[in-house]
Amino acid sequence: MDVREQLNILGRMGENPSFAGKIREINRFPLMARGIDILQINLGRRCNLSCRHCHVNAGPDRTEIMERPILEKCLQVLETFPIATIDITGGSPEMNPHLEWFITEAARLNRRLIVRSNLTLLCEESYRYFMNVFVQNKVEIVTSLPDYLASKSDRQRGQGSFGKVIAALRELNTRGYGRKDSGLVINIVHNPVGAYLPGSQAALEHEYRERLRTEHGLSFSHLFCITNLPVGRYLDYLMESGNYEDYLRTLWHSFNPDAVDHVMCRTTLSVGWDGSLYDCDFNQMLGLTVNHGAPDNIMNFDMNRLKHREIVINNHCYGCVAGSGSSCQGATTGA
Amino acid sequence: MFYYYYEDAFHQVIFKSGIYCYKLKDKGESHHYPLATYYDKKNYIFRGAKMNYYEPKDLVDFPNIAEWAADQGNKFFEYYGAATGAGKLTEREKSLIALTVAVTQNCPYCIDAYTTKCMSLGISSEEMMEAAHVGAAMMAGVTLAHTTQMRKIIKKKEM
Ligand code: SF4
Ligand code: SF4
Repeated sequence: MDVREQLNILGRMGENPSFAGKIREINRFPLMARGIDILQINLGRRCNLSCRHCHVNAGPDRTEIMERPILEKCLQVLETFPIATIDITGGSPEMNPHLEWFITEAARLNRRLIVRSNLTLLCEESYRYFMNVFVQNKVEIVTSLPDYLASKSDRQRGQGSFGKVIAALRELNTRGYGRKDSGLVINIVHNPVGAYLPGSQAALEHEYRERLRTEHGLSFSHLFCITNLPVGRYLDYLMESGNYEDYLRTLWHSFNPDAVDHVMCRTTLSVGWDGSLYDCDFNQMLGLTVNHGAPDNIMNFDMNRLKHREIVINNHCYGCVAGSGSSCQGATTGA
Repeated sequence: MFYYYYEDAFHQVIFKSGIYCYKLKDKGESHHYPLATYYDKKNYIFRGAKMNYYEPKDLVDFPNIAEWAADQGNKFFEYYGAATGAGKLTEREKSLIALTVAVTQNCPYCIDAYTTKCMSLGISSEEMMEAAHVGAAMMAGVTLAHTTQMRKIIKKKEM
């Protein structure tokens, strides 16, 4: 589905009020950024997997890849401003030929450095060296494992993907990842395999820990629950399965006013493969660049105009404030 | 016999006691399917406003059941929260118990709510089905245990 069609569908809220209307009711409109603590850099849409919930619509045939001049500009911005966290995502970041260089340069800045990897590539001979790159640069890894059952996880991410994640996790564990006191952090993302919201993050983390320990002998640092937002391939799934209306209604009825103050866009700036700037990765996939006068490409980065920008919202934003709230770091309120 | 009728821009649907017929309006084609097939295909039976006493969207009315008796209603919600929240039993265990009660009591709202909650908590289909069998076995056991009363009366009254 192209972006215009997605926005059209999101615009149809039926009897439910729009997100803008809803936050206006609780005096949170307009939604304003509080600063930039996280620079989330999307290295491109190419991926070895084609997960059914992917909001990026990523896959092996995508060609969009962030080029070196944009990455250099990201480094320059990071050097200039004390942005605490560098969050590298994709696609598969490993499929961007500049990743190793970028990680090495970014690590020198001494910030929290995150790479979102699906781990499955690390099992391939030509990508194995990234395990060393991650360890040497103390990269914090975030990986997706939608369920601790192979059959369920594979339904979402493709046959055999669960086994590869488990194999990579095992090797990362032996290198210290997910082990107490090693300083090497690996967090797992849980997201629902279907049209429902994630349950309590604490309860799910407990269950994941037990299952992965007893059934596979594995450990990890923390579990992040992330709500699937009705964007990209997940929106296709909702439409095709006849779940869209119910899902939107569920999001709307789970609206948590406290979560509005904690949406990640208030402290994040997202960079697209071509340098375009967005309030978050979801807005990026909907083509909603930062607006309201702020510069919309990293080449024209202007901290003063970006740090308190007005955020571009639409009805997919309901996903970030449903239940315990959701962000790239998991639940945003008491989970 | 019940007749239901539902219509949208593309379909006319009529069904009676599990058999229905739907027509693609502009093409004038008619199809007959068993209820379950149609439900799988389009989900319209529960979407059509005129279709049923039980509507999935009525589930969201649950928080309003304190209407007209707020005092008792609020006390119920307080109790409901305390009873179903994690305690010595985990939220998972309590959700499976609640789901089991819901299926044995045929409550579509609770089945919807607790199936979804179990999925949200990462409970597998196999675990839910096992719990449902506990409920089914209990219902059978409860039924058969009550034949004791029946057998006692028969034995007392028959020559
Ligand atoms: S969800 Fe992640 S791993 Fe899956 S296709 Fe999208 S980018 Fe690739
Ligand atoms: S979808 Fe993006 S813009 Fe909307 S609330 Fe979530 S993080 Fe903010």
